[in-house]
Amino acid sequence: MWFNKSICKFTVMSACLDPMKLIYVALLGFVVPIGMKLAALFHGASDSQTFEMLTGKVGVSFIMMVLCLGLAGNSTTQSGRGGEYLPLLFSRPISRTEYVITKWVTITIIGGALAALQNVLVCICGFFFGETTSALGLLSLVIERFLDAGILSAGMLLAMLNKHPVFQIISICAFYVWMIGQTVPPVSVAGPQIEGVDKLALDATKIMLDTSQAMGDLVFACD
Amino acid sequence: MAPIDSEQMVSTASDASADSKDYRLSVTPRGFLLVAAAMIVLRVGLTVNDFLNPAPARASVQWHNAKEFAGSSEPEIIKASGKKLILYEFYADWCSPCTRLEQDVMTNDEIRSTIEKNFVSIRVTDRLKEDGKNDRLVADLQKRYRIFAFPTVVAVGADGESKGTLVGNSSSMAVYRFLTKIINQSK
Repeated sequence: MWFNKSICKFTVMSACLDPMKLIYVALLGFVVPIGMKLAALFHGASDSQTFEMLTGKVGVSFIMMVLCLGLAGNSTTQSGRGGEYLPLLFSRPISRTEYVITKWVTITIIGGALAALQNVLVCICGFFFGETTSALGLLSLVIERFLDAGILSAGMLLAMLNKHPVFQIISICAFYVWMIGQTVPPVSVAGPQIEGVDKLALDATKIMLDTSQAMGDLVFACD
Repeated sequence: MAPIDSEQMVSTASDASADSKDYRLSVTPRGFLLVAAAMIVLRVGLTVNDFLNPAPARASVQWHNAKEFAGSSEPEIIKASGKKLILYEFYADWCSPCTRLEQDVMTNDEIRSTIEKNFVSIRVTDRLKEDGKNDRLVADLQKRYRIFAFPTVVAVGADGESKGTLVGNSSSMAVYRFLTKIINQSK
């Protein structure tokens, strides 16, 4: 037996009935990126790199972070209404494999569905302003979000289920290194050829980009 | 306390308060780790394979080089483009995100055909780092469109007005959305 319906139900309740988790997911997963999209559309601007981040792998990881809280059933992280069901679940024997696989599948489906919904809503917003997304493009987005959710939840699951502090520290550090990699702006900085206040503004942007890229280079020792 | 064998059942939550070491889901399932290890090996293997046997280069957008317009001014370029939109790609040879944009996005069939059908595509290559200065046209275009980073894609209408700017190595989806929005708004 690889899938336990009770654990699945508990996980869904834990994810969906905790007001704090819901607020977090609603704000960071939907309000911020869709707000950014609408602001850009109303002002005729293009999608920023931050927006791309929030609607891509980083956005999925933000959603997964909160969904994966309390995976091991620690009472301090189970503040939601689903938490109290866990002792009952554990009062009968379940195998470790069953627990892990059920958690992984359930969290992947919830996280992937939320991230895919966010991407679809963004496409719908863009549609009313003249942006076109083909059916194949939309399908690719949805599949990509589920794959992102699957791989991220697998990593988080392994990190949180293993209570060894060294293992946890290494895995959390690895996660943040990955996160830094995702947030380094994919641009090279030009030499501004303008004068006055504009030059000052662009110089400030240049310093910020240079700094983040230097940090990225430091971590990855790449170009 | 003896470690829990992988075949044993998980402990109860009530044990947690008694002794945290008892409360171990802590032994990571071996099967899961094996799958993870296999995926890492596969990823590394594919990277090595891509490095040793690079895929044949796919057709990219046919960019006009700004040098073709040397001695001209931007209004002359706009005039020469007829009623088509102009798409400037501000580029630098040393810029790795520019190369990735070229390889990953501009080779996309949908994007390539959209650009070739609707835009006069002009690549504006920065030579400041190599030559210490840029051609006058390149410098003028960079100044006019406030270019501070490469790659930057700027769409300009037949009226000479900027219709949109996309900064950085964006995803294919973002570039496609950008292009279709410009095209639809210009109709």
